[in-house]
Amino acid sequence: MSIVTPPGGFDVVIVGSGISGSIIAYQLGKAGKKVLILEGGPPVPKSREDYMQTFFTADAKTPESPYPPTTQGASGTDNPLGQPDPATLNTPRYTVLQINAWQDPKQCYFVYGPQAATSASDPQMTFAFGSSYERVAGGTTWHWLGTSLMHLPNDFQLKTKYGQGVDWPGGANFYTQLLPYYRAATEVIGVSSDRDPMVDLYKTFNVQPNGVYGPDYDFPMPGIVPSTNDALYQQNVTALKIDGIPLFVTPTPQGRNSRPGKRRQCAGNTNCIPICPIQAKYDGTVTLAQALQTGNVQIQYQSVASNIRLKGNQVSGIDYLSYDTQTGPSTGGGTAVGKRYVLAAHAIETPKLLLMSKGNPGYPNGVANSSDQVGRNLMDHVMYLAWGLAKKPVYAYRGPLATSGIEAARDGAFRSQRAAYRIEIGNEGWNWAANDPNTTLADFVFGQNNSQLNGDSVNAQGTALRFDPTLPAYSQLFGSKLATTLNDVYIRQLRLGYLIEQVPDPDNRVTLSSQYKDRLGLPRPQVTYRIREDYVRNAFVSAKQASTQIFKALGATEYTREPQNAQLSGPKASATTFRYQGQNFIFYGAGHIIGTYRMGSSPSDSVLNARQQSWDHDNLYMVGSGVFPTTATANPTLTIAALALQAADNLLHDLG
Amino acid sequence: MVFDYMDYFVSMSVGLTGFASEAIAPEIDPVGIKAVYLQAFDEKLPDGMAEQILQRYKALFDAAGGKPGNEEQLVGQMLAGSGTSPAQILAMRQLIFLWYAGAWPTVQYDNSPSRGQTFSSVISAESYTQGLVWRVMQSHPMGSSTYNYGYWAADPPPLSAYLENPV
Ligand SMILES: Cc1cc2nc3c(=O)[nH]c(=O)nc-3n(C[C@H](O)[C@H](O)[C@H](O)COP(=O)(O)OP(=O)(O)OC[C@H]3O[C@@H](n4cnc5c(N)ncnc54)[C@H](O)[C@@H]3O)c2cc1C
Ligand code: SF4
Repeated sequence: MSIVTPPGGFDVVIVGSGISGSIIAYQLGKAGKKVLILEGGPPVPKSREDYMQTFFTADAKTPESPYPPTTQGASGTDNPLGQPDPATLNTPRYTVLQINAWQDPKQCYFVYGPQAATSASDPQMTFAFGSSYERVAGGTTWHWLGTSLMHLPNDFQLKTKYGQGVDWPGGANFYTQLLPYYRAATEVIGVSSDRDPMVDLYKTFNVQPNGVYGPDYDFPMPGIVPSTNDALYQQNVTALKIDGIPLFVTPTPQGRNSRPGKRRQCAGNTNCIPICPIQAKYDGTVTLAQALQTGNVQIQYQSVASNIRLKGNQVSGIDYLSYDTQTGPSTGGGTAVGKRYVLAAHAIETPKLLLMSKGNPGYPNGVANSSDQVGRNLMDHVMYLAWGLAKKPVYAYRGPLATSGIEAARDGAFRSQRAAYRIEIGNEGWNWAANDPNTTLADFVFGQNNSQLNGDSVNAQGTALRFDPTLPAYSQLFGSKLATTLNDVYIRQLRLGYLIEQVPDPDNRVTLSSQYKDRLGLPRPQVTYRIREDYVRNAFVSAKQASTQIFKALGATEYTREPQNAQLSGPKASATTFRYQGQNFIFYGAGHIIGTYRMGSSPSDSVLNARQQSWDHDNLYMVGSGVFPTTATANPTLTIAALALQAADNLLHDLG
Repeated sequence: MVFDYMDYFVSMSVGLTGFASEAIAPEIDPVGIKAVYLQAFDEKLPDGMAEQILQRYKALFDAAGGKPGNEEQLVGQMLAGSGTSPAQILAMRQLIFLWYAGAWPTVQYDNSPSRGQTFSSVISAESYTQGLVWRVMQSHPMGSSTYNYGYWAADPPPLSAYLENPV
């Protein structure tokens, strides 16, 4: 496919067709502007059935498992998961399967340096990054969960209020200015939520009813009904407090249809991550299709942006390399030219592109990088997982993956001491926590104990964990005893996930590997990732205590596995385990890749101004969670969408 | 030919899984997962082992009167070692796993507190969705629900409904 340049040229060139790139394209296309999107990945398939088949047959059902490039091939002794060599792929990306292979660049797309720490309790310990993303048209919302919460005013003034991290440019005013865009973002995503619980929740954070998306607002669709699992928490957590804050359960606003609309009504496939089979869940392809339908937006698939050209201090073009097949040679390339440029390739690939573009006179450290902040301050919501078994059936594995959360402790005076978190209530049993249903199944069929249900395991409270004390340890069951035992276990499984705020650390960064490249010859990201601050580590201690209290209040038995001591070196070096205050912790990624090209109020310590415009090149904009100065406490995508809508307005203003 | 033993394969599977034959191999069976599993059972094991196991089951079944009703007792005898070798017992357990997970397991035992690990490889898209784990949890395969919006707010039908009926 060749690009047909419209008369007068393109107004805007966008890199990436995820939710943020597609929103900009749609807003500009609607206004009659001519837009070109360079998309590195393959096109949106005509039917999602191919992706479904790939998912069904995948041995490891990770968030990336349905999507190209393939996550698993033939396994070998030194490559048990059969991971393809990223050097052979044109658009490799990081998958959660690579976390434990992090020391092997032949299996892991990210390249990591040697372990810096001398012990697992040394804050200098480096880790594998916990979260992943997609490089396909439509981007990472193909496999997001859909949780769509707003940030809080205090999230934008963490430094001023609590002496931690940095403020967003404009501080709390940022929130007021973002409100109309938040409101529009819920329309883009089609958020299902009831207004009342949101008003009640935000009131506890001193946000007045009008502050919930502005006056006379209601959500596009009614709230998704909570699960039978949520009900147990609703009834039992209200007697508890975390750091003096009373707990309560809040139904989660979600980007999935609660009634038939332009897309289908959620049928509760319990598979939102990694793929909704019926597209009841919003994904970026929805907005991408709208953008293309304006007639003003063109997209060039399988075209990987590889270099940004400057003329003086203005961007003058973006070079790209094309390919036909994922492992085949490059089949050409070119330079896309517009009046304005937008980078929307997400928080790893965007800084990588900026850093690769270092051939321009006067900008030897890459484009937009006079502050030296490009690639720095890489963050995630680091997750603490806890799981248990309820006394009575809760009927796990039914409904969307999460329908409620405990949001009450997302802000408070404690934030001068430790990071805030929200608590997600999982509906999918121990699927994530312990790789169930297969782990429990294998244990009771083959007499193993990886679930801790079938041996002599004891939890931190000294409770024996063998599920049926009348059975011997390492039982091997069959027939009706197997069926009823598995049933008894599965329908009682509980899972909590704490999404812990991380603070910006300039040494947590994406740079370019000097040694490792992809199939197109582009350098791969070298990642340095630590969790150095007691502020963040304290939240793990708090999360652990909170889980124990919550499970106790529920009358449930906690099964959270105590992590083994971290191993510091060698091919099996621990990827995400650390030791703090005498306890081992393991963290998980939330999929929220944040920072790396932050906005701020000074060109000396930020990449973008509050308009999401490069301080160095005023015809260059960047969007996505890479612009966030801090992680704040809500899942990022509603805010990404709101900020993209705001950036689109800024672009339209510039273009006149 | 191992396929000559289909009836005995289903009967033995009833004993191994705890599900009624109507649930795992209904009379009108457009999916026909039993054939996929029998084939995998045959192919994944050393030559002839599947057939030997089925012959042993047939002998026990016929000797017990050739009528349904005591499948569990018969496989119980076999799993306890009556006329079966340790390798055959493991194979029968692998077949249980196959029916439940739709995947063929590789079991590695060791002396750790978890007694090793089990890896598995999915046979096909259908075998994944037909796996009995989803029924035993009174739910549906992740990614393939035939229910309607909001079903998750109410308790499911009793387990017996899932053990006895095709879903
Ligand atoms: C498991 C998981 C669960 C999640 N759940 C939630 C949730 O519940 N709520 C929430 O708010 N967020 C969630 N997220 C986060 C959410 O998915 C992301 O924040 C969001 O998708 C980011 O959108 P984006 O447009 O910035 O980037 P992306 O959607 O990643 O889009 C980037 C685009 O750029 C393209 N691209 C990359 N490199 C190049 C290049 N060199 N040239 C051309 N194109 C390129 C890619 O192909 C892609 O199309 C989750 C993430 C994960 C991983
Ligand atoms: S629960 Fe199922 S139907 Fe609903 S959004 Fe998730 S995957 Fe789609």
